Amino acid sequence: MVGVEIGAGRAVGVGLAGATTVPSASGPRHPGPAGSSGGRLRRYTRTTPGRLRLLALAVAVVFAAAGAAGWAAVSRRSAAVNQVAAAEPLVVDAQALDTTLAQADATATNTFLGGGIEPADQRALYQSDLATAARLLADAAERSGPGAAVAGPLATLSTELPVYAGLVDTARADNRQGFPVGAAYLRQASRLMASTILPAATQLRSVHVARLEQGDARSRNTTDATTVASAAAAVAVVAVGALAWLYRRTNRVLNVALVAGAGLALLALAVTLVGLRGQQAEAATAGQRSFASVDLLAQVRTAAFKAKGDESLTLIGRGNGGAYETDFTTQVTPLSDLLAHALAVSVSAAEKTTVGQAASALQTYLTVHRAIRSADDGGQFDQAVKLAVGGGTDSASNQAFAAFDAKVSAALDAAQHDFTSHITAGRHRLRGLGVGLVVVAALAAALALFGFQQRINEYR
Amino acid sequence: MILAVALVAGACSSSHHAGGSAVAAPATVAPPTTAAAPTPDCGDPTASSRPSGPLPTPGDMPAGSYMRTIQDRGRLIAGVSPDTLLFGSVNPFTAQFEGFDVDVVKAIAKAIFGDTSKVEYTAVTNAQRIPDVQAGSVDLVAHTMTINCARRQMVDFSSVYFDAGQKVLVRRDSTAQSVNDLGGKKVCAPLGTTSIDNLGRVPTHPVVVGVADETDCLVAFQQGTVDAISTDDTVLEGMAAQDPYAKVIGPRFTDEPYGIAVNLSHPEFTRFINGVLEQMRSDGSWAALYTKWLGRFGPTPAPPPASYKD
Repeated sequence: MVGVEIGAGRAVGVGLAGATTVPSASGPRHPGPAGSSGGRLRRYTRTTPGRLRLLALAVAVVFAAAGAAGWAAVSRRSAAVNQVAAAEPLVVDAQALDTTLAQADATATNTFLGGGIEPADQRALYQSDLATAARLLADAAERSGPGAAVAGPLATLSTELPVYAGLVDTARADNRQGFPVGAAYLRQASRLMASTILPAATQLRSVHVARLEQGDARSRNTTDATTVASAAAAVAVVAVGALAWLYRRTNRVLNVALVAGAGLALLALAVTLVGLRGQQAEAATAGQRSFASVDLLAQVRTAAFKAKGDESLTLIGRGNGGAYETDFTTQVTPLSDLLAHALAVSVSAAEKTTVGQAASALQTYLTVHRAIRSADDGGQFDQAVKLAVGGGTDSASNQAFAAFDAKVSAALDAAQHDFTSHITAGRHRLRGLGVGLVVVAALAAALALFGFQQRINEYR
Repeated sequence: MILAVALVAGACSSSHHAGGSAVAAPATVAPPTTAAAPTPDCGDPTASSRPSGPLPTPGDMPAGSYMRTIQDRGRLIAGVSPDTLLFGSVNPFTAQFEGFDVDVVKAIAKAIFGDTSKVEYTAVTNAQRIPDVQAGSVDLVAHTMTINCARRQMVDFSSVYFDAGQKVLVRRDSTAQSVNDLGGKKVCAPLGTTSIDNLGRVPTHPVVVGVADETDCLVAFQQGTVDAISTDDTVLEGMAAQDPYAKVIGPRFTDEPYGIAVNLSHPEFTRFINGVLEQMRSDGSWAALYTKWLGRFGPTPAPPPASYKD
């Protein structure tokens, strides 16, 4: 790698390999004992050409090492970005699983409210939610990788989801025969969902979120940039030092090759530093803004579906569902704050607008919910049920809720899109930097060696 | 020791939610009330207040009476069971409450308003019956409720409107003849009932499993979590009607006289209800109700006679 073809047409080995093969071209004045390395070193340190060779070697090594350090920093950073990019779809899927399950339960309970045979569109929605959940679960099992952290929740989800579906279908079968025990099966199903299945889905999601956040932290740590800056400083110091030494020993003001080599290395390191900084900024936007928004909106969706289920269960309780209404309040109380935070961190104008619309759609839904509660509490149960379930998915409550969820879902998509585009942009900022650094550092080391060789040749 | 553990588990799972029985775990194993509170002696617990003369004209309740308050409100608020087939349950087809208890409530509404539809039904769990009457969130509770001295300390009761007794429901292939053959078996009963207290006194010591809603017992039974259910025969017949693989066995091992629970602070309402019940006994509407809901289990008996303390 450090062999250099010199204009004179004579190949002269330099560098580490050269050091052992160079013939006595320098004409040592104080030859040491032949064969001993200590003697050879003395031979090099006691003559100017020898010292020149050692210095050439040192400078080339520093240049090459600076390139290697920069390359390592860029590689580490790329790995971190890749980790984030790989974790992101898993987080999205885990979120979708969480939301789909909560939605399935909300739909199942709502379906039972009206009496009689359930509306076909509601049943279809429940079945498609369950199918989606099963598919997401199978995907998650395949792609989550090994580890007890994911194995536990995955096992719980795989075991309990069929149990849940069985309970809902038993409730449905009893209901179709006019047996009130159906309501008890439905309560048990909802309890299983709330106490076991949803917590497992949330746990799975948090494992992937943790992986993503770990990658995210590594993708914008300052150590990598510091490494590159230190490498640049080392190149500059060594180059200036070498030039000064050469000036004293050889009275040459400038060694053009050495200066060019150092300049190239510094330029490459500077470009790398700018790239890292740029990527860091993209990662910060992606992590602290877009992903924070994704996280907040996902929480909003899941909590909202739990609340929607509570609304139905409160009515199904026929006056005995007070605990569900309390849980409804627990679920919806933080929603406004979560949406306000999501608005504060949102990046794109589209997302800001959608989050704002979601916040007002939430108020519309809550107004319908209050109307349901006041009708029910005022003894007008039939009116309350009409608002809550009406003509299936067309009821006031279901419509207002769907409008709200559509906005949250759109905002979530926008935030996810922002996140992905910032991660991709950051990745582009790193593209080619590693290889470029290695090539330029090699060239810089070669130039340095060439520059020194010019001086060494003057001793012939 | 086992009971203690079960109690802790039950406490944890229910405290996880907002303290409501509606979201408490279904198969919560709870101990029977081993140390039953010393039952105060009240003489004949079924002795109620005598009706004060003929009933007032519907829609014209006496001023200052609690019935007037109900009339002015425009609806009677009644606590009933949401899932006790035959007595009080929500019909899945119509989403309306129906059953023997519900029809008695309708008769009371008819006496107040001249209209059986002016009722707001509210589902109450067994354990919530007394607290709801005491809090005044309902005007009355008609929910397969046994009259006894301990409960009389807390609420007022109408005269007896139904005579029930505790039996056991087992799988159709069970060889058990009575509750005494269930020693060591898991037997389910709803919390806050005389049934669960009575089970604790069965000499062969079945393992008592308590749940919030009595229908949760049927779920646990169908899922194989418990071997049997023991509560009033009336309730058990309703469960057996929903499960052809279940049968009700044995003689009644307790007497459970049902009364309508009313707040102690307005005895005139109890007298009024007793007047309605008296009318139902004499005009054949009680017998008609029995035939309508329970006729398939045997001949219609004479209505339980009222006992009054004046």
